[in-house]
Amino acid sequence: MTPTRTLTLALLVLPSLALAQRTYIEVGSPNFQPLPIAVPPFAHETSAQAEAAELLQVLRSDLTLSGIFDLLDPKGFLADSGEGLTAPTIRFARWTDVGAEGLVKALVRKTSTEIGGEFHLFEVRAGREVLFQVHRGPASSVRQLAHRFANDVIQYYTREPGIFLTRILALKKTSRGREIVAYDVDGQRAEVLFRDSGIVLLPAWRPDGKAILFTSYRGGRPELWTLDLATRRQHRLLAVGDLITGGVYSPDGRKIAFTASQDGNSDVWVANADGSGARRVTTDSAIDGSPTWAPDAKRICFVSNRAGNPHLYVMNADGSDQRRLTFQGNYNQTPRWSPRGDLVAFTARDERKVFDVFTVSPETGKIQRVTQDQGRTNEQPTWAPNGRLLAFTSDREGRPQLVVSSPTGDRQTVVTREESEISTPEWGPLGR
Amino acid sequence: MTASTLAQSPLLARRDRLWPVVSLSLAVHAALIALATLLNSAPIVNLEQKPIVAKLVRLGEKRPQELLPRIQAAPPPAAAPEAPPVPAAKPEPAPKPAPVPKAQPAAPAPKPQPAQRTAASSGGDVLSSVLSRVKRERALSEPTYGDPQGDPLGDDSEAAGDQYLALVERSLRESYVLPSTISDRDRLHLKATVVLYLDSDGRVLRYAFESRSGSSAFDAALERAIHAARIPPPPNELRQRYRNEGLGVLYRP
Repeated sequence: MTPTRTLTLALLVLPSLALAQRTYIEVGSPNFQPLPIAVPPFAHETSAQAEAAELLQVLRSDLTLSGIFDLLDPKGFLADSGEGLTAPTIRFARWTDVGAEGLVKALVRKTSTEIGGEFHLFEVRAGREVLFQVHRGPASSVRQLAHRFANDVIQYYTREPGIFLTRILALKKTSRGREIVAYDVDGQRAEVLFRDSGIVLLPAWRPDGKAILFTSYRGGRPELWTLDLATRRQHRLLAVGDLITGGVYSPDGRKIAFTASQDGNSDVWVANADGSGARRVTTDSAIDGSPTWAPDAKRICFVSNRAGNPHLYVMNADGSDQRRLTFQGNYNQTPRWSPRGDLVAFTARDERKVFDVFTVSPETGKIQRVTQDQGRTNEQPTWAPNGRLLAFTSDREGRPQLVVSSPTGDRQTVVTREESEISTPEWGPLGR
Repeated sequence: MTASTLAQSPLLARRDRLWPVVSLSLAVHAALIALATLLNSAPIVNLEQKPIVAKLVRLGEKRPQELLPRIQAAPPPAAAPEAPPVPAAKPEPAPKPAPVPKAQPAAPAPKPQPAQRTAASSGGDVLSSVLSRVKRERALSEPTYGDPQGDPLGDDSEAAGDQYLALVERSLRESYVLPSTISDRDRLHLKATVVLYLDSDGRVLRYAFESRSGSSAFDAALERAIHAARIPPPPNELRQRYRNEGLGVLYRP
């Protein structure tokens, strides 16, 4: 083709191409699904068979509980059970064939005093090892070892700290009185921190995880007390007005908010963490209470019946700029502000007279349901410190027990099977 | 062929005469294009404009706004298999009024037939079938909220519209699955644009990333979503366009 003809063609065709516009559409709202992960039985020294089995079980349980993994059934695995622990010795095609995206392998060792394991995480499609950790501890720390590696896996995938070494406080009614019990996230290793034959209410963590704030009637009326976890010493922190309940530390640990009744009027109060400087921040003649702090400690969400029924309200921490947050339902209570700040979880009674857990956006007021048709009472939600999970109590299996759930409610697990009733759970901070 | 013969060839003569014509044509075209560009610039296309996504609206009264939301229940399961059908009685040629009405059942009671029993009729499954029937009846007895102008088969949305792109968007969204391990932080900023080249039957002939997200997990999930998508065939007038120019898809979490 001569240059002339090329030029002619270009002049004729280019303008029409320039005018052509490709159509674009936007696709959002994906369906988030758990990542399929394979955790085959761990290799172990002969003496560590039982520990390897327990490690495997705890790790699988943790990854399932996280809500972001789909644990593949080992019955379907195609790989040789004697397969190695390093990428060159693994036939990844066999793991791809069973749908695995991630693969965990481990070797468990044991001495007379110590248990240890080397843990490997592989990305199956890429066929490479992406995480290698060695954990060891006292012989009795098998569960913690598994929790530690579960945290590693969560950290790798989400770039956020895992929560499997955190603990959940709850009140347990027993024949000997009321106990404040700390559970592992999977409901195991229940540890009684405090027992009182009288009334004990609403335990709450101090953000450093070293002390607990709770309401006790031991002084003859409800007062706020603290419990030092290292010394187990109790200390009366605050007594204001006629009664005082439900103290919660601000996320920075510098303040506490609580409900106090003075002259028959219940209001939200704020004090310094040492109990000094208490002052009332709501003054409405209605019942105000159940405060919860925003993660920046600048705002407080609370319950008030000033509109006739209990609803959630939001205000600045000094009591200014109060506004109503919920307009649906007629009995909304026990708010808990997510550490991410984007949601407030709460309990509400719906038109069927059933108590369920909901979340509401503090910005838009949009309410979403977490539980539905799962017992008569699901209540008192509390957030995991990473904001990815909720815990609450539910009577779906009889007596109220602890449930760990995704914030959308699509994955829920009853984690305790206590013979006693459990109430007012409070999820502890990271880094204990 | 001699030189004089060549010189007299009509082909050569025409080639010599072609130059002025081509030059004139080029000049005229260039002038016309310049004129058209100056007088009538290209239409402004709003690339941000999104297609309207159509969803059917369920028929029914609107759920009162003061009520707490309920999770849309999954469609009630199919009716549990009942007892085997009883062979229909032979129709009488003409109904005769019985002189003395007898208290008899309208139809013979269905007898369980062991030969036709399946695992579904075992004790536990009978219980579960009864439970599921009770659930279904309860679900049906509950008010369903929607829009008085809605469609009995509709779902919850209120948008309206009908475009091919809406169907494409829906089919792509149905296969759009991301791993839950993608962090909330990443979900705020991840995005990728893929150009899909569609065959006349809607099949994706090929695709190309116009821009990647920077997350291998996200991009790999998009590739899986594209492979799994069942896109409806484009209308006749758009087939050439989507085959040659492609359809751009901006994916966001």
